[in-house]
Amino acid sequence: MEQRPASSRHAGFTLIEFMIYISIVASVLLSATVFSRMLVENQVKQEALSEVGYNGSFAIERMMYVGQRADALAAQSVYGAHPGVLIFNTPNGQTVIDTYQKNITHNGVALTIRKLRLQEGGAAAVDLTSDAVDVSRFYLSNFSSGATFSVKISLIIQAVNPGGSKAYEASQSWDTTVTVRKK
Amino acid sequence: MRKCAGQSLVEVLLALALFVIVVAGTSILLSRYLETQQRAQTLDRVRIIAEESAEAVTSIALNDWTALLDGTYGLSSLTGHWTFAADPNVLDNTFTRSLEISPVNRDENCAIVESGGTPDPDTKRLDVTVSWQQLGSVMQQTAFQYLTRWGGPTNCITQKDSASFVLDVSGARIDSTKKSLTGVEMRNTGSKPITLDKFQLTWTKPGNITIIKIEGQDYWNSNNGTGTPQGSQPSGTELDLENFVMAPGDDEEYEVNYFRFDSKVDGSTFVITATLTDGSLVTVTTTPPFIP
Repeated sequence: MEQRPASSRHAGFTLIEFMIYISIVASVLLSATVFSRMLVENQVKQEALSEVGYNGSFAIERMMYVGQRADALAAQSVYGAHPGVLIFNTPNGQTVIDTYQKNITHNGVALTIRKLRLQEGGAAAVDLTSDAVDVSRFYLSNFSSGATFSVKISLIIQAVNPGGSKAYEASQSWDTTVTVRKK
Repeated sequence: MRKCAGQSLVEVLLALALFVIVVAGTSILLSRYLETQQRAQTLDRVRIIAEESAEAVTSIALNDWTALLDGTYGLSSLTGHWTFAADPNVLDNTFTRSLEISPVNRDENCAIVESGGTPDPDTKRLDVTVSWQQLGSVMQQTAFQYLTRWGGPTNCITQKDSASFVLDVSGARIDSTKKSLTGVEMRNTGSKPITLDKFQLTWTKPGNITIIKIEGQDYWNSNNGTGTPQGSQPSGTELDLENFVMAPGDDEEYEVNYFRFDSKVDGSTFVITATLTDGSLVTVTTTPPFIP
């Protein structure tokens, strides 16, 4: 008989304990889920941003490399409109940097993207951007003055995101100028 | 049993505390990671801005070198090409870009020096400073490059005349008198005229030099007052010619008709040093055959 009250108090206590336990476990699980979801989304976003960043930087570097070593900007270049066409006269003929449209399937969705490409001399054109990004702006301004050839390049690249998902959304813009060294 | 129940509450609290510590740690780690990512992207943008600024200034320099006046500027493209603006630019509402053009000093060997030396009119230093606000503090990155007037240098980076002067002894020979070295040719492979100032000859046979005739005319003659010093001269004497100007052009050849001596020099080895009016030297060595 002496044991009973103690025993019943013990039983009551375990219920509170159980509720505390449940609530703690629930909050732990909840925060862990939110946390991991945030982590994954961020990872995806960073991947998309990196993809855009690398593609744009590579294309810009390549255009600067070609432009700085060229003899002149060709008169056939297309300025003041998207998509522009950038043509340099080089010792090995013309180097053409322009865009073209390509039909791709991304995660089962068919869509059309615009890609930057570079064609040197008589060689076949090579892509400057991957299938994972879309060139949404390639706009050129002729900044030449006197005998100096200079062109301002404005480039916007977006990650391919047919579903419009927030996580895959990534876009970056570049503005740069290429000056032909030869005068 | 009560003791046991109380202990399990402590355990729960302990577990809670541990959990909070773990979560806090991970959150800090995650925010650091995000911050780093953001910083990398910002720095990439800053790099692009600095690169474009350098290209823009290069285009200004190529177009008109005299536009590179020392001072602090921004850039403007209102005229359809890059020009300097008085004030720094604000780009993307975030980055402030300012350009500084400053003189570059070179020492007597034409090497760039931080202190001392004299300002080189053919070289300028460009510092591009990009600053922006991040988490309430001002961040700043500076990149610099040298700009050089390769198109028309006026100071020490000018190419020496000797770089485009060719003293060709491949056709050199001793003629039938055995007292003349003939068949030496000179060329100017550069793009501007070169003036020949002096000749210095050494040879291994006895005797003195008396006449140097170029393109049918005496440019140094020991006894008619052409060039200095007068009188026949021994091996190793520097002979100051009447200045002989060579127009540029690979196919234009100037023949030294002969170096005449007062005794036989066949079988001798000659070292010929030409001094050009900019002070640069060209030296060749030849042991010409005797071809009468």
